Amino acid sequence: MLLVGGFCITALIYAPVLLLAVLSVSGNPLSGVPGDFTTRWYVQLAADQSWRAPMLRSAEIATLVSALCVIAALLVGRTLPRLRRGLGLLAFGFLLPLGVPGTVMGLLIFMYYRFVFGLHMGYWSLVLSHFIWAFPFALIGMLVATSRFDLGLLDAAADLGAPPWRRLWDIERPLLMPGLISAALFGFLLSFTELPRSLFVAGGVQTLPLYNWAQASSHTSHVPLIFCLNTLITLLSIAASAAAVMLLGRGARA
Amino acid sequence: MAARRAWRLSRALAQLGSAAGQTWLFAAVWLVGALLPLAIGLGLSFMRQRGLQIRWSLSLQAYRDLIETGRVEVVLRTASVAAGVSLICLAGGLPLALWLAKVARSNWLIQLVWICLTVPFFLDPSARTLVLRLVLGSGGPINETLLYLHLIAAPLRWLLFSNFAIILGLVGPYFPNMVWPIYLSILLIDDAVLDASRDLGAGPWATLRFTLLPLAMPGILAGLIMTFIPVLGDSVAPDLLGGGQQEYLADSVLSLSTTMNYTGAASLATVVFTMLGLLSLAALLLYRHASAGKAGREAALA
Amino acid sequence: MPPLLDAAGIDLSYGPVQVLEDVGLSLAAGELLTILGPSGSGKTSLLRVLGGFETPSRVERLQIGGQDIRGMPPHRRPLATVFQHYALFPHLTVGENVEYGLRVRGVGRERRRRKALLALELLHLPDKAGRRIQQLSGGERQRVAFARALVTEPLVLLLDEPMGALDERLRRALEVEIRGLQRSLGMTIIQVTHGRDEALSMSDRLAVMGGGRMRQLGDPTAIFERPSSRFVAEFMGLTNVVEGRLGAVGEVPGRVRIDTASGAFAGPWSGDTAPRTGQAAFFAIHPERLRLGADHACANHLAGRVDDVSYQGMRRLVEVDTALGRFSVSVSARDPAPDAGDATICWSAQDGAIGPLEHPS
Repeated sequence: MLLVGGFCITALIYAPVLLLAVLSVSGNPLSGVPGDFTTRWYVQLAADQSWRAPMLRSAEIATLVSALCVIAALLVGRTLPRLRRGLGLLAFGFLLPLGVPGTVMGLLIFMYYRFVFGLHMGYWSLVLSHFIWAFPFALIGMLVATSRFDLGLLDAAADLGAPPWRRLWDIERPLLMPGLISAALFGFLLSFTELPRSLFVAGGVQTLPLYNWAQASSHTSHVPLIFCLNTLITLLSIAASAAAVMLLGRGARA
Repeated sequence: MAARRAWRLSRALAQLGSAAGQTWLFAAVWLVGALLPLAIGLGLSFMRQRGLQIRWSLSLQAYRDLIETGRVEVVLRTASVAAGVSLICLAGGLPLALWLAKVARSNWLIQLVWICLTVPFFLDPSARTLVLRLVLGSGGPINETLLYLHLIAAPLRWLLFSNFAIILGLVGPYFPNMVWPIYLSILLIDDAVLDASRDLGAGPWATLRFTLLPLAMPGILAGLIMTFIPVLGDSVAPDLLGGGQQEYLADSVLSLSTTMNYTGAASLATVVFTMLGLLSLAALLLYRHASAGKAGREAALA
Repeated sequence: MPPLLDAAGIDLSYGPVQVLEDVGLSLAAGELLTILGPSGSGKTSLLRVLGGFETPSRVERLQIGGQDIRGMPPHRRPLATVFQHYALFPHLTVGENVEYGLRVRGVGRERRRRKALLALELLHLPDKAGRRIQQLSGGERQRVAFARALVTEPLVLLLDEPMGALDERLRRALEVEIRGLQRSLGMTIIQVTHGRDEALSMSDRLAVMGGGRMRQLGDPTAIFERPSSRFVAEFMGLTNVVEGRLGAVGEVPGRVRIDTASGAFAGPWSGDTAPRTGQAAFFAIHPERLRLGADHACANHLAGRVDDVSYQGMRRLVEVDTALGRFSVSVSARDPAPDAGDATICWSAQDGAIGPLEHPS
């Protein structure tokens, strides 16, 4: 019975998303009432050009952030469980940005690079701020895989005659794969939907969440289109998260 | 001594080539690139700004302005909203986490809930909030239905552009932040401990109160922190559901920064950090006190 | 014939902690040597040094088949290890695990599959090649680890507590099996264990380690009957120990007398060095070698009081308080339990061991 609260709140997450999808095929989505079903908005979306550049930009940035997350999480995640000293300090340092509200972090990153280094915001600062946001999550995902990795397996492989590169390829790579994939997914998706930091460090570059936000706050004719756009993006997000959960879940049980 | 130092130095150099060395190197880059920005707020907030020029001299002017323009109340108002959201999430999340970690047996159901609790991290902030505005609006389906049923005579105005709407819009998206840490901390509790408690004659409630909750406390605190902090900085819900009638933290930060009042923005960030620091300290002391009290009780029993 | 494996003068330290101190051993081809010792004695560390997983701070000599392997990385050493927790690769099948050593050596698919199957058959697992590791029982995992190590045909096989995680019954069965395999294949094996009984029953030679040093190396009977130090005596179950000084030496060859606070006892000298009159010495004897009651066959007698009797199935353990402390006497459970009260302990001059007390050097 106590679970009702939890499920209600979960419903509170998904009801708006579901309604978004339903409204995206409704005749008059701005009324908030479904009905008069049509694919008209999707057809318009396909013809519209304004969302393509931000979408492409976000995808590029997210891909870069994802790659950075994989490399950094692999480097840190592999060594962190093996460290004899400094483990707590390093973990604290890497997870600290999670303790800063998004808008405040965006502001601080902007001010730091603008006033200390005299740099102008742009593409690079989006990548950097998204990386700072996504890396702690990627690291946690990687640590799930690396902390249960038995270092004895590398000794065993060496003992059987495997040189270092073969140990990495035959033993570590397959066993750490779930962590790598989750780091890549976290990097991509968190960057792709990042808004509060981007507000400060975009420097004129328009990402998809910035575009969405601008469209949602204003009352222009584009609004029905972003219903469709976000329905599609949400479907992709759900598919990707489901894949990640299944993968990590399988890794956890093995 | 000298030989020892030379040996240490050579070890340190050799370690730079190793994985551990590279990790420390990355940690140093992280410190300069990601953590030092946190210090800039503190530094800038004590500077003086005239026009668009920052003058590198100490001053408390930014803080005086902050108080005069009522920004401190903005911080407190946002904090109270965030606290409300956190408590609602805790009330709903604790039973769900407990069920997920210790009661649920069906594997696919567990995975389904996992997925449901992962997806919100990846939803577009505008997309997840946009529809609520339409639903809660005076011409929206809720008001329409209530009017149609003659339960109300006029549309409920407080549904939208109110604290209620903001809290409603924030509870959902940040709910997983609460559930995950609690879930993980409960998952780590050995079933044997709970069995032992039951075996010693504790009923389900006593087991919950004296065994499970104390052991899950780190997770609960982590969940509160992980919910409270991002909610504090959320910019979308106040913007889309608050209607701009009252200012929230994200609005203040944005407006100070767009008017290029950087010392003001920095001092606001410092106020937020101070508040977060005090809250963490209080939570830590509370936790210490609780575990010390528990140890005392146990000693008294033994 | 030169030894197959020859190691001498090995020191190993983790920071300030000295784990191995001047350790050495040598091994002939086809021999099974067991390294025995309490936990923390350095026996697993020694095995890891041989395998190449630890770099010793000093090593005088380390050769296998005449080849110097000092500084050689583990993947080049002609050794194979069966690890304590087996370290089987969880993402590979049983067959792939066994094949792994051949795969990294570039052996063709057909040939390595055939060899892996042969090894699995040898260990009675012919139909498990396609299984996942998670589907195997503890005993089966242990056999797979064995097959995986055997298939690379190492010059020396290293076993790190191979029975550690198995129950008593499985352990006995595997003991016999390892011994059989070792004899039939002519394998050379170094095994590390802390189980005294399995060490005695399986080994050609025993090495007892303690505190990072090699305490005694010899055939099982010698170590069981003639421990050369108090440490080895207590570890091998000679739990009744008294200290004293040597009396007259040389009356009977190999036999000495030890003077204690409660009279002199005769017994065999088991020290490494020649005995000297007046030197500080210990006397130690197994509870099973003691008898209750005065017996004319006994050369040594000690008076005491029976304090406690505990039933152990085949045997009865009688605790006797004497002027030299508490003695444990193990008697057959068929004999009636002794009454509490005065009793005499006696033993033959051939039993027990008298050796030098170690001086702190």
